[in-house]
Amino acid sequence: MFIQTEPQDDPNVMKFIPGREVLPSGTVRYLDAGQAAASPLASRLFAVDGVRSVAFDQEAITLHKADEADWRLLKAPVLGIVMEHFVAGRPVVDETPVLDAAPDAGKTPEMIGEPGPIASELKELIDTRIRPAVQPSGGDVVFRGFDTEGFVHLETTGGAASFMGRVEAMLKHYVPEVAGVREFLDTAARPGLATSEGQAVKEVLDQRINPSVAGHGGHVALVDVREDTVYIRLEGGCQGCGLADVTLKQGIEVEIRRAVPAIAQVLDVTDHAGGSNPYYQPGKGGVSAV
Amino acid sequence: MTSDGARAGRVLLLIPTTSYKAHDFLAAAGRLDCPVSVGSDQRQVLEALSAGGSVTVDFRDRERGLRQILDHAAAYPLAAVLGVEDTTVRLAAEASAALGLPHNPPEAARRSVDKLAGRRALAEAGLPVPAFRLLAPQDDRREAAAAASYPCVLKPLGLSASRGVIRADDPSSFVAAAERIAAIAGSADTPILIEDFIPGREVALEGLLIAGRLKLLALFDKPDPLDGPYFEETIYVTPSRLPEPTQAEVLHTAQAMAAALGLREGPVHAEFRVGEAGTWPLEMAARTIGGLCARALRFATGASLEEVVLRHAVGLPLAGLGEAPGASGVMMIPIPKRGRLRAVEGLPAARAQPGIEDATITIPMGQEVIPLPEGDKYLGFIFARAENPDLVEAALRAAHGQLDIVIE
Repeated sequence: MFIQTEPQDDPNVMKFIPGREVLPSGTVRYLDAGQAAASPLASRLFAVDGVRSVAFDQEAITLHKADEADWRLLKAPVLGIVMEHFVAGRPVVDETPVLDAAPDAGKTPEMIGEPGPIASELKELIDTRIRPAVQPSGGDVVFRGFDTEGFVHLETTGGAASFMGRVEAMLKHYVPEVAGVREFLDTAARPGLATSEGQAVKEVLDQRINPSVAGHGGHVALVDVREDTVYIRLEGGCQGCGLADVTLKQGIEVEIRRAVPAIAQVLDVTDHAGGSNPYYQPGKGGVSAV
Repeated sequence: MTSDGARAGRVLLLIPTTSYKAHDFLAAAGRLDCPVSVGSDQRQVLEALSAGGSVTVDFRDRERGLRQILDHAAAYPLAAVLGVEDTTVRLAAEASAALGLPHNPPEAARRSVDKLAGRRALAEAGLPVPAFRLLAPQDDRREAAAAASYPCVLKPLGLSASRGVIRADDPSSFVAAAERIAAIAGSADTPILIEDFIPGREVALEGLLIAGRLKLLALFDKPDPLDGPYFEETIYVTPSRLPEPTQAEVLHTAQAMAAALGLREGPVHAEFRVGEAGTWPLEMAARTIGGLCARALRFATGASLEEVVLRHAVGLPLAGLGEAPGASGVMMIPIPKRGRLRAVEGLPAARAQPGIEDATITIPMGQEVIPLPEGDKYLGFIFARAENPDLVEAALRAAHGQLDIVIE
């Protein structure tokens, strides 16, 4: 299942598009957890700190967050909840309490660094040269700023992560001031990663898991740790691999839970449909056992 | 035995690295809280860390594979061994026999994956199989072509899922088909099954064998004609729109097929031709439906097909597992031409069609795509659910119509 996220002009509003029907018709908006009792999905989303309203329409879940909340911290648990919900086949709404339009639109999303001629040049390069090349893979790259150390901050979705090496080379070629590129979400502050559990999980990934999956051209990125749940993203050869779930459920989760008993589950927030070079690709059964 | 009546121990899932089914079987195991090990033909990168959660099993050398399974079972007791693809059902049966677990007889599992042995067993049981013969590697193709009756269908014994299956209408197309099949199989030594073409529509049955008795799980219509020269499957819709007596005949024939092959336990996927000449059994495999097609099925309790199979495998109750109300279906998206897949436009629009539950592309962008009879991959799948089969079929066609598949 691939959940698209779509920032809105209002920086406090984001759409999550699960690629399947959310409501059969109309729109529903919940303004607090009490109203959301009628919706198993909205109830779970309100449990995420910072969620102020939840709206559903036929194809999207629109969240409105508090001013002080940060999408970089909210996205992982929201994606996990939405994915779990739809995969389990639970109803979105038990009954329809409040009819409303989706939240309003507003301004521009958050950026890193200050505007300037280099930032403008980078943005134009990314919009005109890089995004058209990446988008056919089902992914996207969005410019999120140019910092004082010379790093370009890019937000990647879908299979775009696998293009980062080529993107960095191209940006360095055209803009000599570029020292490198950084994944926007990975530079965000995530308090869960600073906890003892977060540190322990990171150590397991760095020392036990990633050296092994690197043999298949893969990489496991730690997205966040919230309460007893670890959110990871599978990259490279793991993204879209036919046996990615075996690696996750029979390997990564086993080892993380063994090393960090406080962890109960590991959720994969990878866009597997965007995988461009999966290690194992499924086929129609190949040669029979005869 | 556990408190809920299930046999104690893990389920060993024998999943080839090329399977589409790993995700759905593991998700089902998770929902049932059923401990599993995954046996696969290549060592998993984290096998050493998996605490027996994954194990390397040789699927080609079954003696070696059996030893690997028995060694694994000694450390991690097994409640069942399931082969999820044709390439693993025979080894699963042999391992189950060795471990004293409920299973299909190994010889029955062999017949289910050997087209020739399967045809012979069905014919010996008096079932109306099309006339068939084997074109052995040493046989002269031109002589065989001159002796064949037309139209006929050539099927390589070593391939599955319609790969290399070609209709011939005359001796020259027979010889061309045989040569093409040898090229697809990568060997001139490939034995080919030759059988009469049976006109009619195809249906597919999904069932579960329990102590030799067949429980019907779903009967799918295949509304697109499958008349050749290649046999690319596209739309499956359930419940069937065939007349009740015809459906009953299909079910009766399926039960007879299972008995003729000797299959007794676990999932079966069977295919039939239904026409003026009655119901003709084509094949019965001792596994679930291929690709991601099982996602079209949902049972009354909300269970997936994989959950039903796992419940049966470990001895959990199966009550209340009738099909969910309404109709459902899947479209295996055809590959329109050979080339490099550059883009699939229109997926959001396809998913937005009424009744569509999901549409997914399973070949990465930039990869080579090859249509049948050579191709060995599905381009993707569209899933629909609606009030009745007509609406499901219309939804699948409408969604497919939104797609622009760019191949260069």
